[in-house]
Amino acid sequence: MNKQIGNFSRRDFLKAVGALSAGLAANPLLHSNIRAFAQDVAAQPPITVLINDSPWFPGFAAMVELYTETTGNQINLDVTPFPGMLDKTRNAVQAGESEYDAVAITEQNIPFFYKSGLLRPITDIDADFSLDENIISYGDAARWDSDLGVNGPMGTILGVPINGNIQLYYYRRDLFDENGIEPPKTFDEMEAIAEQLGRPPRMFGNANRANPIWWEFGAYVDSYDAEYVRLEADGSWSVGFERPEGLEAVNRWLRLGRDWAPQNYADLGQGDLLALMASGRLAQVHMVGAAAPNYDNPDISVVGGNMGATVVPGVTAEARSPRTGMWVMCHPDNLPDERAAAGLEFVKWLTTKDNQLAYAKAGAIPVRQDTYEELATDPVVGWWTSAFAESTPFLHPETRLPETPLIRDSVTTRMAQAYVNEISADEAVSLMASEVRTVMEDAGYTVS
Amino acid sequence: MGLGTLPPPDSSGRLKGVNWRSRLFGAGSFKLWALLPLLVVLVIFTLLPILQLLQMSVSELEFVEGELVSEFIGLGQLDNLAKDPIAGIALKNTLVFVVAVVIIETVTGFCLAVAISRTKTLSILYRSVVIIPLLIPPVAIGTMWSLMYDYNYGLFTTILIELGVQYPPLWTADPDLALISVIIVDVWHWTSFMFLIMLAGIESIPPSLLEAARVDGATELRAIRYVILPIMAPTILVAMLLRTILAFKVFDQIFVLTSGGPGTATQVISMHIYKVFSEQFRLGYAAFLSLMVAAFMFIFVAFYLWASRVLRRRFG
Amino acid sequence: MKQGAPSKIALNLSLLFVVFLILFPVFYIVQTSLKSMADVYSGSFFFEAKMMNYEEIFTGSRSNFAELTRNSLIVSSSVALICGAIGSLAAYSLARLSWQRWVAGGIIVWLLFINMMPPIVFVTPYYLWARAAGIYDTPAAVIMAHVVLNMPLAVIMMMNFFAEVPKELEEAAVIDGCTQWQAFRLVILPIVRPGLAAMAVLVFVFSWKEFLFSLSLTTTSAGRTIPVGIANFVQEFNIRYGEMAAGSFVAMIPALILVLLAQRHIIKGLTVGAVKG
Repeated sequence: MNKQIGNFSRRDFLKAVGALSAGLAANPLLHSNIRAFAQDVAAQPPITVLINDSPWFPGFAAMVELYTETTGNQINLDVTPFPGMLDKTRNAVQAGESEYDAVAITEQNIPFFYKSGLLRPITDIDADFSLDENIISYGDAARWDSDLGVNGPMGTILGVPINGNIQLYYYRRDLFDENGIEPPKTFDEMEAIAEQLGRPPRMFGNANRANPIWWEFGAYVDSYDAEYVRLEADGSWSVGFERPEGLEAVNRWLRLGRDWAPQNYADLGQGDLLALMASGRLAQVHMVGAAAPNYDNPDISVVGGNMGATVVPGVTAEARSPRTGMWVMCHPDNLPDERAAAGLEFVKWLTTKDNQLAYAKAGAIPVRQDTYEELATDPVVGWWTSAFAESTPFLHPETRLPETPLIRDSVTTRMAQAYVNEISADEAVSLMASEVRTVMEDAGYTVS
Repeated sequence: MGLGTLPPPDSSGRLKGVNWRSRLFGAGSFKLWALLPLLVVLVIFTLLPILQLLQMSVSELEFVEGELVSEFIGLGQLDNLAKDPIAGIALKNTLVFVVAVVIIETVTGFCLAVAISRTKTLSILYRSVVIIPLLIPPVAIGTMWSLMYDYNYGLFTTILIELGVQYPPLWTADPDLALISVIIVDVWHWTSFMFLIMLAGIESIPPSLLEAARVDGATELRAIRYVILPIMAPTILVAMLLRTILAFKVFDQIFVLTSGGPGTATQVISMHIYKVFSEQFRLGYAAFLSLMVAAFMFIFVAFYLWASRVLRRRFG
Repeated sequence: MKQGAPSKIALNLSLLFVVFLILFPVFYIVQTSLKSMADVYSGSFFFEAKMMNYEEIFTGSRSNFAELTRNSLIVSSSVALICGAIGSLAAYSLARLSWQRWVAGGIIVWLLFINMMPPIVFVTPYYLWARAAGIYDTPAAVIMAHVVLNMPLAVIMMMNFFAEVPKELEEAAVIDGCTQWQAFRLVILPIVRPGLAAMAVLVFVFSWKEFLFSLSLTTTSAGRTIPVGIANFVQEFNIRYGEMAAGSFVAMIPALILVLLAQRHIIKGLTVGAVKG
C-alpha cells in the first residue's frame, strides 16, 4: 500500500514513527500505542494545511496520516521552512481565496494576525465550538480582545493551540545524582551548580542563547517583575526596564550567560546549545522544551537516558516564569464556509485527549494538561512531559502586542551589544527603557 | 527573419503614417523589435510593483478589519529613521562589507581569469572547479561555514588545536573578527562571479592584439598592463557594478552565519529591511529604507560611470 | 604564445592551490553528508561514514530531492534561455542601434533600480499574479519571477560585450547585404559568444540558488526548487547538517554537468553559425 497524503506516504509515516522509536531504542511501546481512535468525524472535502518543518513535524505528519486513515478525509501539507511561514501566511490571507484551509501561526505572530481581521473567528465556523478546559490557556492564546488590543479571557476565539511549546530547564541527571545536587529552583542555585560542575573546556557550567537574546531572557525579566511591557490594573502600560529590577535581570542574564559558558558565548544559537548538551559538554541549560525528544535520539545525542528536566528557575521558586512559544491553528477569513469547517474539523480531532497522547508519542508537543499528566510517568517521554505538566502554573506568555517586533528589535540589539561589551549594562537598560517607551507611546498606548 | 529588409512603406501615405509604419516595419525597425520583449517584461512585471513601492515609501500601511489601509505621511518616514536603533550601524557595516568584497573579488577574479586563460591542459579542471561555489545555495554555504568556524566542534578550531595553537580565533563569535569571517566566506562564494565575467572579457580580446604585443617583445606583465587591462577596463567596471549591487543585498549567507552578531558587528542593511518589511510589517518604512539604500548604490554607479569615462579618455 | 616551462609549472601550481582552497569546503560538505548529528557535534576527525542522510533526502518524509532537482533543472535552464534571448536582443539594440540617450539611459536606470530593490518587495504582487494566472505551484510561476529578477544582469552584461565589438564589422556585414537581424545573428553574436556563455551561466546560477520566490510561489514539490528543500533543514531550533550537506552535494552535480555542457555548446554552436554566415 502506498497511499499518498500530500507528500507523505504510509512509508514516511512509519519512518516518522520509526525515527522516534529509534530514539527510544529499547522501547517497544510505539507500535502498540499509536492507535486509531474511532470518532464521529463526518466526511469532509480535502484540505490544505500550512505547517512548518521542525523537529516536531514528524509527529504532526503522523497525525495527519492517522486522520486520513480513520476518517477517510484527505489532507495536503505545505511544509515550509520556519522563516518563510510569516510571509506565506500573510500572502494567503490577502489573496482572493486562501489556498490554505488551516494555517499554523507561531506565538510571536499571533498579535499581527489576530488584530488584522484576516482570520475567521472559530465560532463563526462552528457556533457550538468551545475550547476544552483541558487545553492549556497559554495566556489566552486562543482569544483576542479587540477592546484591550491584547489576548484576553473575554476575547473572540481566533485559533486553537496545536503545539504547546514552552521553555524548560534541562540538566544532566547522571551528574546531578553523582554530586548529590537537586535540580535548582532559583538563579542563585543555577549559578552555584554552574560553578560546581563547570570544568571547561570539557564541561561547561551553563550557557545561554545569544542569537537572539529575547525569548529566554523574557523568563528573566518576567521573574524579576520587570516585564518588557505590562498592562497595569489602571489600564496603562508600564515599561520594565524603567524599574530597578530591569537592571538586575540584565546583570543576572549576563553573568549566567558568560561566566561559565564556552568562549563563543556571544554567537550561541539554539542549535549550538542543543549541540553542547547533546554532545555531553554542558551541565545545564535553559532552552526550548520542544527540543526534548532530540536528546533521546542516538543519531543526535550521546546523553540519552541521562537527561532530566524541570521548570525554568527564577529569582525565587515562586517567581519562576518560563515563557511560552506555542503555535495555534487558524482559519483564514477568505475561505468558503465549507472549507473553513473542514479545516476546523481536523483541529478539533487533533486536540482530543487520546489523539494528543498519540501526538506526543510520535514526537510532537501536546497542548493538554490531562495528556501531560497521563504521560508524566511514561518511561520514555515522562522525563520531559512531567516537566511540562509541572510548568503550567508558572507559564508566562510571549509579549503579545502588535508592536512586539519593534520592542524585540530594541531588546535584541541592545542586549547583544551589552553581551560583548559594546555598551555597558547600564547603558543598555536606559536605551531599552527609552526605546520601548517611545514604541509604546508612538503606538498610542498610555504609558505609566 | 528579415525584419530589416521589408520594403519601405508606400510613399503615398500620409507623412505621419509613413513615419509610424516605417518605424515598425522599415529598415531601422530591428532596433525596436529587439528591444520590445524586454519592454514588455518590464512594463508588465515591474511597473506596478515599483509604483506601489514609491507610493508605500510616503505612506503608513496597516491592516484594519481585513483591509490594507494606507495613509499618506509624506516624508514622515524620516522620523522612523531617526528612531531606528539599527539602520545606521547596518548601513555602515554594509558599506565596509561592500567595498571590501568588491575590491578583493575584483582583484582575485581578474588574476584568476588571466591565469586560467593561459592554461591549456588543465583548463577544463580549473573552469569547472571555479563554478562550484556558485552552485550551492547561500543557506547551505552559510551553514557549512558556520560549522567550520564553530569554536566548539568546528574544523578550524580542531585543526589549530591539533597544530598546537593555544588560543585559536573565535571567528564569528569575536566582535572584531566577525565581519572579516563573513567577508572570507563571501570571497569564497562570489569571486567566481567576477572570474566568469572577466574570463569572457579576456576571451573576447582578438588574439592578434596579444600576439602583436609579444612580437614587440613585451613581457607578460607589460602585456597585461598595456594590452589586457585597457581593453578589459569597461568589462571590469561593469562586473564591479553588478557585484556592488549584489553585495549590498547580501542576506541569507550572513543571516545563517551570524544573524548580525556578535553585538551589532555584522548587522547589514538588507537583513534589517527584511525584518522591517516582514516581521514588523512596516511596509512604508521598509520601502523608504529600500529607496535610501538604492540611493547609496547609485552613488557607486555614478562612480563607475565617472571611472569608465576617465579611463576611456586615457586609453582612447 | 610562448611561455617558459618553469613559469608554466609555477602558474599551474598556484592554480592548483586555488583549486584546493575552493574545494576544501566542498570536501567538508561531502564529509558532513556522511555524518550523523552526533558525529557533527563531537567535532572529531574520525567517524563512521553513514549513508543515512542520502537515504533521508531521497526517501524521507521531509524532502523529495529527485523532484526538486528536476524542477530546478527545468526552471534554471528555462530562465537562462529566456533571459539569454530577450537580454541579448535588448542589449544589442540598446548598445548598438543608436537609441536616443534618454531611452537607453532610462531603461538602464529602470533595470538597475529593479536590481537594487530587495526582492521581498516583489513577492506579494507576484504571488497574487501567479494565483490569478493559474500558474501558482508550477515551475512556470518560478520561471516568471526569476526571468524578471535576472533581466538586469543579462542586459547590462551583454551591453558591455556588444559595446566592445568593432563597429566596422556590422557595417561590412550590412554592405554585404545582410539585414540587421542577420548581422546580429551571424556576425555579432558569434563574436560575443564568450560573454553570452558567461551571462547564461550566471543567470542559470542565480536562478539555481534563488530561495524566496521558489518558496513563495509554490506549495508542493510540483514547483519547488532545491534551495527550498535545503532551507527546510534549517529548523526552528536546530540545523540538520548532514541532510543539508547531502542535499547540497547531490544537487550540485547535475547543475555542474549542465553548466559545462551548455558553456561548450554555446561557444561551439555559435562558431558553426559564424562559419556558415
